[in-house]
Amino acid sequence: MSATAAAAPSAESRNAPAPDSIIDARHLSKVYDLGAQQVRAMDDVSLQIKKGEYVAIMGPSGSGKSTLMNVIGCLDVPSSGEYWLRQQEVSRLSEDELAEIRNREIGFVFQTFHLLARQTALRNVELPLVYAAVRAAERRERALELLRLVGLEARANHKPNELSGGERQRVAIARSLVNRPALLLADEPTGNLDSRTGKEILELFDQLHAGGNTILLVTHDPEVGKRAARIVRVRDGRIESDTRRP
Amino acid sequence: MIALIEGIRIALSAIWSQKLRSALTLLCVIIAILSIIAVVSVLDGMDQYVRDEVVGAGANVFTLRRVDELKILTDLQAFLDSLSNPRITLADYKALHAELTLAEFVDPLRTLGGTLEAVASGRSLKNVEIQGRGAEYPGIEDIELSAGEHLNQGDVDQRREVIVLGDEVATTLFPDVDPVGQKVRLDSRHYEVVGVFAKRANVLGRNRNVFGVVPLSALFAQYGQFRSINVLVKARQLDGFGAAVEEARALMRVRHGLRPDRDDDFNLTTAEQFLTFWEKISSGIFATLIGVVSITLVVGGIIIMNVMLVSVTERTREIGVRKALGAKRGNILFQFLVESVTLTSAGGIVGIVLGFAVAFLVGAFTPFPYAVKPWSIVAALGIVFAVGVFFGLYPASRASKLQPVEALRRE
Repeated sequence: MSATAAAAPSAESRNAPAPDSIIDARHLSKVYDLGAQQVRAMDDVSLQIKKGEYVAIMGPSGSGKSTLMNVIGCLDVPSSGEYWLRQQEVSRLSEDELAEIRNREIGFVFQTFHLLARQTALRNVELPLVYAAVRAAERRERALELLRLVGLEARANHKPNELSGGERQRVAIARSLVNRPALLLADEPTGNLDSRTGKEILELFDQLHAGGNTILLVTHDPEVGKRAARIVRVRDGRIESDTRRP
Repeated sequence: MIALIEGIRIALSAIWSQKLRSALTLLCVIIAILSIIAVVSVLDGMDQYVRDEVVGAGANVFTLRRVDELKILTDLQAFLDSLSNPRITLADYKALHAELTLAEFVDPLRTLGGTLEAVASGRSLKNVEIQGRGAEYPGIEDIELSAGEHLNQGDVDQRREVIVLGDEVATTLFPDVDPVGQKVRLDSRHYEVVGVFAKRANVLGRNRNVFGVVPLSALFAQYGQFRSINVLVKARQLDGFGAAVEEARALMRVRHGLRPDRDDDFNLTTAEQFLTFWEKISSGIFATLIGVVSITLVVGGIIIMNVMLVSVTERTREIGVRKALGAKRGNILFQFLVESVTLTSAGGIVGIVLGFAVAFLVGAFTPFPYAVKPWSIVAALGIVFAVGVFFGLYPASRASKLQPVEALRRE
């Protein structure tokens, strides 16, 4: 099922998405009011992603892909449209409700890693579980399990400044997965890494995809985009194309 | 519960990572708490001491005086009015001694400062309090001898030039001979040492061992009797104390020819009055303390608020990351509140420890016992908690309201 570019009837849009749907965005728009001028950063975007897909969102800077990613990641809300994350409509939720959704459903991987500098790798990986109010012993166990998965078990007690860029991104990936999210959302995950390390990280994403994770990767790098089975191109706040690798 | 433990853990690591800044930030809080603990402890020790020593020694003793010097602090007009009171004379003392039926002992007192010199060795001591007394003072004041004898009635009647030395005077003038039997010079006259008083503890920081007691009659013979004296009276029974005071008052009013509508032109001071006076002083010190501490705490609180605001700005990205990972507003608010409360509590604990250290030092180097008051610890901790919450609330609320997208974007 590809993205529905055409406007769906409103009666239909009130229906809950299919059971295997992870993202079902319907006519999302985001308008920034800059005083005299209104900027339409996202314009009638509809996008569906099913469980287990590996999708790359590509576009030049200023294309609106960051806005789309923020809305998909529940960091921001659309000005209009519906956004179903799994079986829940989240576009009108309050800030705290969105925080809970982010905590439970979304794993973030950022370009600049965004690890807490003063905390060890283990503590960083545990962080989402802290906000999910998981007990300390269980947190530790799960965080170690994820660090093992990304091959950094031995570095658990190192702080970010004692780790290489690639290791930091692995810690961030472990953190993104620790609460078993429905969606792994990666924003230019290789942007701050050299090409060899970047390749390793992308191989890790391949493994995670193979393991059943749903991955949405935002990038402007065609080499990175090639990894995904499906590429959604964004330009001027609209979806320009949505293609699947044969 | 998890949130609380995590909050404190995060706060401690944030404070620890900025050790110097935290210490400087907390200086005001530390000083405020230190003052509370130290002053409360010392004041309480002093209070205990005053009650034990001053009141205990002279429980049923009152003093007839021309003016009440304590009034200079409590009632200045009354003090100024009393300056025109007639002198209390030796004749007044004799009348009281002869006619008071409810008094057990009556003794005059007149003091002057002087230099005593050991005649044999030439050693001398300045600013010795020379007390001219009668023979009944041992019955009035709890004052023990370490050697020799007290003045006796014969010494007083014969105006003998004899002296009983305070402990420090004796040890200073006669470091290596027995003082009893030695001569000391007071201006032109030589006094023979007949006794030495046992060492006395200080009261309110005053050294009470640099004195000597001579017969008032001898002192008057040497210097002339132009000055007013005090008369100390010890009531026969403690429960008859009020009656004894009134008896003395009536006698003095008759002697001064006062009509019933006139106020006393003399002063009768009781230990109770001294206690009232002391309570006024100590509550004054306490009120001043509260004022100073409040100002210090407000300043300390503002500094903490400022530092917390800087911290929120510096850690905008951290807040963004935490929010992205699922922190709600409440989590962030709580985190920064716990941080400021932990900060002030750390200051409070340091202040409490230093405060008791100061109180202990005061206790070690002065005669005041310091008393550890559990309520002062509770109060101090309560105060720092309140300061932490009050001044941490605004920065914490600013942090909690940051939008995750913008917070993540900021460097």
